[in-house]
Amino acid sequence: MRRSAIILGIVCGLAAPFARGLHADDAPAAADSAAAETAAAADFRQRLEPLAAKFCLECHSGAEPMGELDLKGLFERLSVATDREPWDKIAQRLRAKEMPPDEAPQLSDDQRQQLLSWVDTGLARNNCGQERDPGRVTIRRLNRNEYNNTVRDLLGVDFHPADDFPSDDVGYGFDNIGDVLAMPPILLEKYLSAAQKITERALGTEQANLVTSEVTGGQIIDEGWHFLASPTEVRTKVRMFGSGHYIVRAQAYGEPAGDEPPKLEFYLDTQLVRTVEVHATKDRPQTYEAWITTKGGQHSVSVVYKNDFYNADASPPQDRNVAVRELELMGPYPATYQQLIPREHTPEDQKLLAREIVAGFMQRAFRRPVAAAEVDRMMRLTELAESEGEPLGGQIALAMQAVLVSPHFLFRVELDPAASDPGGVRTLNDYELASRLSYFLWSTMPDAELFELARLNKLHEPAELDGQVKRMLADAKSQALVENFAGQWLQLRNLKIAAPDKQVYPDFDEALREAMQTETELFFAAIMREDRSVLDFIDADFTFVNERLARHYGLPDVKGKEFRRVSLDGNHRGGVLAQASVLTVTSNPTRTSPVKRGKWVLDNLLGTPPPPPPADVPPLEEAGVMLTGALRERMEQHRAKPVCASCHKSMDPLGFGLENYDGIGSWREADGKFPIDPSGTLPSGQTFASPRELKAILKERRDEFVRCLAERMLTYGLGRGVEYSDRCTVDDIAKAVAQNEHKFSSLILAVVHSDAFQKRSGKGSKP
Amino acid sequence: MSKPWQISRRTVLRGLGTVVALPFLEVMEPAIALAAEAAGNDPKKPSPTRMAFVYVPNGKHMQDFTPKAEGAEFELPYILEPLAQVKDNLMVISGLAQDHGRANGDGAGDHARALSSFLTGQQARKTHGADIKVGVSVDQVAARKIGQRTRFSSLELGCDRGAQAGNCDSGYSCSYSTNISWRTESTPQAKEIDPKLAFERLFSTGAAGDAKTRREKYNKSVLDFVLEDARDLQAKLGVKDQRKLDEYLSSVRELEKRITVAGREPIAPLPEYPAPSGIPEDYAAHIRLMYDLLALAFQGDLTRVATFVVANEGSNRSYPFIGVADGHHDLSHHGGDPKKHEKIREINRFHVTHLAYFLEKLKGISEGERSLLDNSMILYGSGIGDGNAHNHDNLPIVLAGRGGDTIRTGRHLKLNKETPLNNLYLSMLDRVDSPVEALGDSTGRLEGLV
Repeated sequence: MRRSAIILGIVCGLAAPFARGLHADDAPAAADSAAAETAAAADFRQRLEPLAAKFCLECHSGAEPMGELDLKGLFERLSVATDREPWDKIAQRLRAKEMPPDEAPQLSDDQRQQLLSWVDTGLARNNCGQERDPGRVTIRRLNRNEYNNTVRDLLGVDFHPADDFPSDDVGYGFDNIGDVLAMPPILLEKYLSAAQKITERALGTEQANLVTSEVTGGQIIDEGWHFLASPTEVRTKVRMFGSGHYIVRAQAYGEPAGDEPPKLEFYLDTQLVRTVEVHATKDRPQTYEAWITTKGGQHSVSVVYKNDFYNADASPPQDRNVAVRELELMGPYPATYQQLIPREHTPEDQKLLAREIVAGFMQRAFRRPVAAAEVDRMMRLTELAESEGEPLGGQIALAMQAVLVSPHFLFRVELDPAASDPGGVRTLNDYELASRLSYFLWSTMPDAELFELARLNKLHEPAELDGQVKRMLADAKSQALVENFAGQWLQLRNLKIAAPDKQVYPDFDEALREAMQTETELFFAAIMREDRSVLDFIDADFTFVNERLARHYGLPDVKGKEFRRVSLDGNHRGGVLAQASVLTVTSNPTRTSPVKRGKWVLDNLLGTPPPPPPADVPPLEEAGVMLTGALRERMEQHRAKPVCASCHKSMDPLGFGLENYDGIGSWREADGKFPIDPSGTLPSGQTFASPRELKAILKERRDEFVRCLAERMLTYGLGRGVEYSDRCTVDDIAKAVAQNEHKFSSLILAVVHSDAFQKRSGKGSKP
Repeated sequence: MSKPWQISRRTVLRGLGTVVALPFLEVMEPAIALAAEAAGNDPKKPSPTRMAFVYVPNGKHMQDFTPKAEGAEFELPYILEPLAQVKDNLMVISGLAQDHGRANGDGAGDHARALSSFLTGQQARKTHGADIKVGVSVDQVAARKIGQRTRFSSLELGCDRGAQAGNCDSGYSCSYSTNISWRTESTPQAKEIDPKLAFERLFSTGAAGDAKTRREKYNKSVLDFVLEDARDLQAKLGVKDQRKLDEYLSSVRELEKRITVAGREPIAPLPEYPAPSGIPEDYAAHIRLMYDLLALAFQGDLTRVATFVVANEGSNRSYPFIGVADGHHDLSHHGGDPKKHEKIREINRFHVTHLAYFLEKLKGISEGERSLLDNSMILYGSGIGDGNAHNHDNLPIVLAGRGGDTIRTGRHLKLNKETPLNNLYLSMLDRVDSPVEALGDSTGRLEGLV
């Protein structure tokens, strides 16, 4: 149990005691630390080295030590400062009881503890110099939200194809963790079918949209050609099904004469849409096309020949003519077709255009420059489609489908430092940085501005980076940070599956559920957009309500469905702990759960999660306890058992302090016949008599809160668990936030400026 | 099919008792494969044996789950009463344990371990995510072996999405309490929870004629293309990243196989079934739809291996429609409270009612002289015995179906305490032509099925 507590602690909060130790240690002179080092070394030699020699050295020494860990050398140097990483690993392995392995002689618990505490103390003493281990993020598959948003920004189609994908598993509290995001066959299958749906949405489907009609005009000569020997037109009447973009295609050839080629003008009804010069000749006629945009209904589409030329005096006489056939209409195409295939093309440049489009698309989809060879390979697919008779749109669609299923699109790839240097660290290039930024703040691909800065290699410049972060936070796309970060940090997402009992809470309905969620999202967004202090999360003098929620809160004079900002002076609300969303997701269906609420505060605000309950809690009746009285009294009886007391005394008071809020967050003074007693004493000795006083205490403990929030934000921003070795980075971030009036932007900026965010180590790239 | 060397599986299993010698199975393999390939169209040929694992969370009220009497003379206790119509077609098995559901030094987290060990028999590594590891699950062992014969190697169904936020169980990644099926020791098989999507995936034929041929050609080319991409990329990556690309590559291969197999028609004509329109509000309707799809998939031989997680482990779903407003998980920590016992019993029985619906359905589908149920092995149970004690021994287990006439049903089989659940799996694997010598913590094959 002790061990689990430590492991859990690593996730959010273990660092707290270290950090306190560290801050206290900032002052002492170097001499003290050197003395401590010497004492520790002596202690190790005398007490622990024989232990380690007995249990570890047989495998971890010699020419080829197991796991490439040579303890002999490590023990000779005995410098945690220079050998931080292997010592860290030793601590992890010992803690997880992975070492010694099962088949080897085992350390006793006491021996294990002695070794661990020596290593941990050494690690703590050698904390946080100049260097930071940036850690290493496992390549991250786009999760469902990222996929939806990326497809939206890449192709301009916003239909949430990933909503049909299996849910992404959560690790470290978030669903964007590279290590946890798996790629089972069902998902690849969904990617493949989504790719097809996406390109159909973006480019339309050719077969379905063919519109044909009888063509008239000119003089019909052989093989269906309409010959235009004087200014005249070829026309067709069509009934267009639906508004949108259509392509008109006409095959044509010219008979040139005079000083310019024959020209054809494409008209929709009376409106000129495009003029083309016809260079094709009779032996090699070509297809010319023009885009038209129109509403559905009856229209006429015509191709007009105007620049006729005849010079009878010349010898032989000069006569400029043109011939047209197969006036063809395709459509309607979605608006995105024109964005993705941006210009009309002639048969000569179709291949070139296809290549240009595919290369541009790959570059944006892979979020980096692409090599010519990569594009060459991709063109094999457009050629395949062409050989099947697909027009340009179909050829591009097939290449796009391959892009959308490619690992370069589905994963955010960052290559490790040189393979020869697994311990090396490299700074991410600007394209990689652009992706880290955009997926962090927007849950989507970089936009044109970020790409341009990456191309110019300017994005990493600190001033530029600051400016971009501020721009991105102000952009509407940062709503993704609200939904995805806040939704998971505050566990708002669980509100969807909360099931308050209709008997106990007849007042609860879907409108209220929705309003609860909106309040907290707007509240988070306000702190983010107005760059307020993050301490507002604990307590604030404003929130957002509509009529439904105001009624729930007992706030007067709010009418209608729209949310508005309200001042909270002198009432029971303020901060996330007083918001119905959080209060509901931390309750049972039929009653409040002070334990869940207390645990929620410890987990998500203070970063000091309680150890999990022991595996073998005996049922209460065996303990001879009969529970009677108010919930609070019953729980206190429960807590009387020593095995439970140590943890519950840190959780329960926090929850009791919120008992004035019922299981769906309404204010109450009594629970049935029992009056509410919201007072409590924390293990620190701090006491409170109301939720307001409890929040005041939490605000005093701001350093713990900021550290916890920093760890969460770093976890989310990196897409990996924040490990023991990241505690210096977390220190840096917490310090920066405290020095900047706790402004929200300072939190984001500190994460973005950290080595963990901007660099990549090769650690772990080898087994 | 009357060549002398074509021994029926039944003969072998009966002849050798439960200790089935591997060489015999290998001799049988080609014959079985051939038979399976051609099965269905000809009623005289044996139909393949199917295998499904159905999971329900938070343990059971065991006093009303375990039959009092042993053997064939047992009576169905309250929770199992709904199974009356199929009592002769199933076996209640008592005494099985899944040791790796226990802490074994890892502290709290019984729910995460219960689900992740249930089909693997392995100890989940305690991690929030950095290095997820448990083991290959029994269904995937079979899928690897016999999955090549059907369009879908295996089918994973469920009713609950994975957790959307927060920590699922005491330091374990949510992967462990959400996924029952593990393709590799670190790659869970995500489950489909939307009956509409599951239906489309299983039965949708999409385009037809030339368009279909062209689409398949395109898909094949796209997959070939990305396979090459992935191989190139993998060569440049570190080990952990390579592992992710391994998952990708293995999935590409699975899809390529599917395109190849998709050409074959389902071997049995399927009844008309209306396409579901999404996840029903009504949980009971949701469960029934998923069971329907599972039955159809088996009937059409689209797959022979499936898992169905009726609710995620540790689920706190409430069941107001049967008068239980409290969360299931909250209730399962009943602390001996008789009122809570009563409610847990009702939830348990509710789940069994739908199992009965499924089993009766399989029983009503005939395959030659037998029913689909006869040709199946449906294992139903939970990785926790009593929700309050969080014990992982004496698990509530029902095995329905006769495994192609290789299992003697209609009994309450009481085993010695601490018999590894994985021993049962070894015996089940034998019956789907996927014998292995060991799986997880198995100590041998289970005696007493025949």
